[in-house]
Amino acid sequence: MIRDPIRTLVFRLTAVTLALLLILSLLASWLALHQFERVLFPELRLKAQGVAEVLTRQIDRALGYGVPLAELPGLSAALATEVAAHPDIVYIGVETPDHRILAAQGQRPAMPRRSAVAAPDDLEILAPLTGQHGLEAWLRLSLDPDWVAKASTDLILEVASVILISVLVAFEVLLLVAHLSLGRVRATGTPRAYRPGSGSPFNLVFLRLPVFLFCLSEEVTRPFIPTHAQALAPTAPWLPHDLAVSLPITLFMLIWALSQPLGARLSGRIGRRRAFILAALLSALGLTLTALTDHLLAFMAWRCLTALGYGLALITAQGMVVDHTKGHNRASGMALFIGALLAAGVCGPVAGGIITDEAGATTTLLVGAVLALMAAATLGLLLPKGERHGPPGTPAWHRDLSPAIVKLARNQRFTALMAFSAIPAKVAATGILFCLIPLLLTESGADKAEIGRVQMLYFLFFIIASPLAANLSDRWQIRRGFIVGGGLATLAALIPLALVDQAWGPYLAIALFGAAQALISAPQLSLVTQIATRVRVAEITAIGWYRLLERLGGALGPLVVIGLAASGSYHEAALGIGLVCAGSALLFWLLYRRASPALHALETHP
Amino acid sequence: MIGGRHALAWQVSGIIALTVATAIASALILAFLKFNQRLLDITSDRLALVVEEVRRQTETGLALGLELAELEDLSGVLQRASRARDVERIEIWNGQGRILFSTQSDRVGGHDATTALGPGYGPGPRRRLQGNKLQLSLPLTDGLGRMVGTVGVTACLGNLQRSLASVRHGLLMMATPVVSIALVLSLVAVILTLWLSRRVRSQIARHDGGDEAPALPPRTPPPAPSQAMNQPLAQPGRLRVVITRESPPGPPANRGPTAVPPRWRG
Repeated sequence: MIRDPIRTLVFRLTAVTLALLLILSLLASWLALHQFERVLFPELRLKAQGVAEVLTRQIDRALGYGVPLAELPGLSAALATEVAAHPDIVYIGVETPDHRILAAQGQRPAMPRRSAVAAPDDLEILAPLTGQHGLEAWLRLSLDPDWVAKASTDLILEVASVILISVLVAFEVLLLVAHLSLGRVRATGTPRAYRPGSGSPFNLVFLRLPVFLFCLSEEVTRPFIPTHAQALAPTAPWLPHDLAVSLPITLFMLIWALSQPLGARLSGRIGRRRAFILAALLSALGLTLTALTDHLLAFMAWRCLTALGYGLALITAQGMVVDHTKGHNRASGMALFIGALLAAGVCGPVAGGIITDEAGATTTLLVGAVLALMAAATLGLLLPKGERHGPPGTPAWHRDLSPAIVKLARNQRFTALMAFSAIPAKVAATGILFCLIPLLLTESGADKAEIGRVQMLYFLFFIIASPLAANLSDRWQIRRGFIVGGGLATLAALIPLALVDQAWGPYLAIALFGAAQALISAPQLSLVTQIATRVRVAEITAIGWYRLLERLGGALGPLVVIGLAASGSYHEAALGIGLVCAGSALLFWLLYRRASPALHALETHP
Repeated sequence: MIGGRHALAWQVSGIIALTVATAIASALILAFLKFNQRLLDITSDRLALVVEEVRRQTETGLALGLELAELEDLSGVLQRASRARDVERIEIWNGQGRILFSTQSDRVGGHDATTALGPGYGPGPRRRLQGNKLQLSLPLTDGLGRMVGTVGVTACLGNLQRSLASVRHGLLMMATPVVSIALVLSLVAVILTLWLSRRVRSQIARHDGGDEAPALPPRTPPPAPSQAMNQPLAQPGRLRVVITRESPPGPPANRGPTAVPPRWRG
């Protein structure tokens, strides 16, 4: 296999960027932590002294009444309460002057290490306990010498997220720059004369950055949309609370799905370049208006406007890929497009979460609007102006819609695939990832950055598992097995979310969920194209219907999840969705096996 | 390509240097914001101990059946509690927000609407930060479990602000050399990578893009999407097999009987 030399070079340069970022970020973080410790330890010591004073006053009062310390009831419980309430205090003990321990809670650090900022004595506080006869005992509190490092886990994860985002953005920009540089040379032989968008032939790589930026504009909103809707719910008290939370996502998905045929027709009529720019501007306007509203109904209306722009832009971008590729390289063209989508899926939620935590949801939505405008601007600069328009009124897959869907619907395998695999999978993906995770994690006290990190894992594991699943399912020819396995794996993935009440539960569940969905995605697409061939429907038309139906399933996702949560809990809703996916997968297996393949004569005699 | 080589090197170095510098700056800003929040939380926890202690002692008096305004020995409790670091004043308000006790005697009898107990006032603690003043308050309940007033501590965060300023200064001092190192290292690393990848670059100069077909402009104009996509029997894989195995080279129109049947053509 011949490797694309530009891509090889860009991968090497990205690896260099990653290495530099890791080394320098580690150095910067270590130096910063050192700075922070210097200020944090005195504050921690002051707080521990406050705890010691409160305990001393309570114990002294009892001693003042003549209660012997050894017989003081509730002493251990009082110490335990304070150790549990202050994670920076690892040990509290009451010791007699001859060092006999009367009561103690926690683990005293055996040999307090000499930290760069705190001497061993600074990490312990000794307070005298005095009764009627003077000193009776000592109260000893030990600070955790590693507390600052332990408490910085959040910070370390956020720095890691920043590195990941930077590397992905650098990769996108480097790819573009390398291709622009090559384009200049190809155009005139001299690097200066080339200008993208000056009538030169279109390079599909130029589409990647605008699509990446555009998808990023929406992905940054993922960690907070349901909780934001929850906060706005009191402005529409007549709307049931559960519906108020799920409806904005459902409407977004619905408008996105329904805008696909419209987008194909629009871009065919006014041209891909203008259609994409118009859609991106529409999306930017929608995001800006969403940022400025504080009423639920207006919020939903502007989300619909954003969805319309989002759907139009994405179908237009897909149209560009179709325009500039042929059968033999269309899959590679689509891979470029999907690569940009997934990269935005990795970067967006985590970046959005960090921005929301530090500056609020309004700022994040405005950042999204700016990104959509940047997408429009980059596409305007990179795409040639005189690009060919599709014939008016002939959208990509819409022209033979009705006969195609009739043919497809008559095929039992297609029906089984849609009803028991594509739609349930999308119900799970949208419901769990975009609706349940933000609500569940917010309820357990997580901030938006953490929600974004959990959502990011879905895309990360999807990217890792997807090519492997596609290759293996093709090689072994067991696409149905992969689809059934993916459905069952979805249930297994969601079990930690439903049953494990630990901080790592959602991380593990969503990572596995991403991998499980990746098992289903590529084999589903392959089966759709196989069925399309058998029922004599153009592949692209069948794929168009497949995407439309699964997106309609996506619109159902939040409603299903919130409905299940309303009758139980978020944990039970996760389990319910898992069971739906697993049950659907088994039904699919049974029905697909029974259904007649309806082979066409050509299939049997190639 | 030779002419473009230096331009590419400079552009790539610039992008990588900018990315690395921005990422490090973002990481440091994030770290500072997190640290700021952490420090404020620790200070709040410390001050919460003071408020909690006053609340406990006040509620002991209320449990004996006394009215809030009758707890005269509270003044001494407040004075002792106010000796904690950063505490500016400690006050006790009644349900309407009138100050009954304060460590600043001139404020007694004053009114603070924000502390008045209303329908939305929950039983938990409240934290309010205005400028460098932090106010923490807790509701007071009598022996029957009714909320009858509020105890609050107001702290001046001047010391905290000074600590933050010193950390900010330290980070700035540290960030400048780290970012400078990042810029130099990026330049060196890119030049080295481009030099080590000279075979790949010469491939780029010779080769029109490898097997990454979408990167290339199509040699013939692609069919209109509607034509390409709506042919009922458009099976690109099979057509390609037929053409490569059986057709003589040349345009499709010149092919023999094994060529694509007319009904399959767009």
